[in-house]
Amino acid sequence: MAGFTGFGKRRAADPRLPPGQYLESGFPVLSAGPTPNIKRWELQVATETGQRSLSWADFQALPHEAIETDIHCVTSWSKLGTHWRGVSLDTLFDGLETSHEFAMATSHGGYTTNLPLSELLGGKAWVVDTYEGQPLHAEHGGPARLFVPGLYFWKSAKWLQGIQTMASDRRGFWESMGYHPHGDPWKEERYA
Amino acid sequence: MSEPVAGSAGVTGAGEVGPAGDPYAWLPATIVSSVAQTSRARSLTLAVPGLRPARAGQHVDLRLTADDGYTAVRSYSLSDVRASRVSAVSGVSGVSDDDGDGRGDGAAADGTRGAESAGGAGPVPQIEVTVERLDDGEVSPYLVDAAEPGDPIEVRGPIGGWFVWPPSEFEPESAVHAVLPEPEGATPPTSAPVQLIGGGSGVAPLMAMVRARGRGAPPMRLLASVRDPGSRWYVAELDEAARASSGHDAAATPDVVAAPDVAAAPDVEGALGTAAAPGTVAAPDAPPGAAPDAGGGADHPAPLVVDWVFSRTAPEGHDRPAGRLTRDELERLVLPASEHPLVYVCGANSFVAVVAGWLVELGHAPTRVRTERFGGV
Repeated sequence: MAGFTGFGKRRAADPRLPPGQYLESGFPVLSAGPTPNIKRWELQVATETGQRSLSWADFQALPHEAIETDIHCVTSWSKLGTHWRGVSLDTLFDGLETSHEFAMATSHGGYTTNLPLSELLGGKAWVVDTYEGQPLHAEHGGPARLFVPGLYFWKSAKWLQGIQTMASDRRGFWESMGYHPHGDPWKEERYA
Repeated sequence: MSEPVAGSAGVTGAGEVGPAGDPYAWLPATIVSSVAQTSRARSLTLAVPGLRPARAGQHVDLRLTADDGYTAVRSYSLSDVRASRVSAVSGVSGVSDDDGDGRGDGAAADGTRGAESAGGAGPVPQIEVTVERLDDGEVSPYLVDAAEPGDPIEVRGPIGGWFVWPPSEFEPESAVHAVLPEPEGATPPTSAPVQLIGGGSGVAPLMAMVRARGRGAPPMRLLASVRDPGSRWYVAELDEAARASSGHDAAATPDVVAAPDVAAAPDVEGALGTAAAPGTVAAPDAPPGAAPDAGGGADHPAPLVVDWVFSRTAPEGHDRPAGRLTRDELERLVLPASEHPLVYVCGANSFVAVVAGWLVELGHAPTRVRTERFGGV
């Protein structure tokens, strides 16, 4: 199609950018309502065979990993080379058997998002509490959020409260609003 | 699994993959009119063949293509959705109330309708976006300063199901009801009074809600915080809508500033493709008095109160000195928590974060406060 004359001079081409994404230097916020007031933090991880409940002290005592990666928001911005620290979901699920293939993440404040378990295990996902060397700000999901950088960032549920495996896929909050049940940025799985 | 149609190669046949196919395919569209809101912002009306009816509060993705095929995508809130609802009846350019809410959306009364397509194949859905120029932006300078009627652009959407008014009614077993119980004693969201709170360009999707309200709509109140008088968007139309809804002079709503302002005289650059149709989407921006039928006339549309707050420079004669919105002011200027209003807050993240936090402190149920945020922290 005919273009806008002169448009495109400010392009930011980078092979690390998935299709349809642009480079963002700030850190925009996407959330549906007020930042929740978390009085008592606790993280529940549950499968059909068992569950564990972690206090903040329990969570802090688990081994943390440093993560350097790119993040991609469904609203078309990407941030490259961000630094996080958190606990691998492999660690959180260690010892909890499951035959389930899906999981629902629940936030303080009630919001939910669904993910395939295969995107959560195998070194692909963490619960992070540190961003660029600082405690994770509440606006960005602190004290701790899910972190699944391989998927669009709404899947990285803020203010994480629990992760429950499930036998079949059900849509979470954002997915009920028209966002994609899977959300792979390299396939542009934005909406469905 | 649905993937957007790739590239612009499919332009000629893209109409075929519209509503019947992938609802998030890129649709070729044309800019049909362009109206300056302020020195930094412009409302663009797009004609989008095959577009699904849009809801107030939703956004679209817009894709610009450079001469060498380079593309860039940005999301913009819709500031007017009324003309997205067009009847498919051949030869009749009309507006159907196809969401079944029985409100009729006030579109016909405003003379707003989809344009006839060039080929005479029936009305073409139209939407309006309002874009503010970000000086270091890649896309917004082109949309504000370079885009002209007749220019092609691509549209994906409309998108969004939460920050919308009228609100969706979700299935009882849906993820939404499961996690967001309604406050006790509250009327259902669909009939709750509506408080809109916008910071700067955040007024855009709220304007779509104001415009979409029909005669049977619940009362609406809009609080808009802007830098200075010249930064007000839609000011003439909002003044007129508030005046018309109160049935008498705007003096009844002392917080509404009627000061002369550059934005009160939009320069309509043209309405290509719809030039022969009076009352296209550009019409609501006409100054008060220019369109006697605008705003519903004697039909007394649902109550609307508009309050402006100026953070840097207040207009002459304004009784409130310039300064940031405070929590006390917010309490005075919004519908009280006891009425369980449905509150929509849109603006820069810092503004939304502060306002949403105050609303919860003032007793508003978090589940009744819906937010949409622009830009970084």
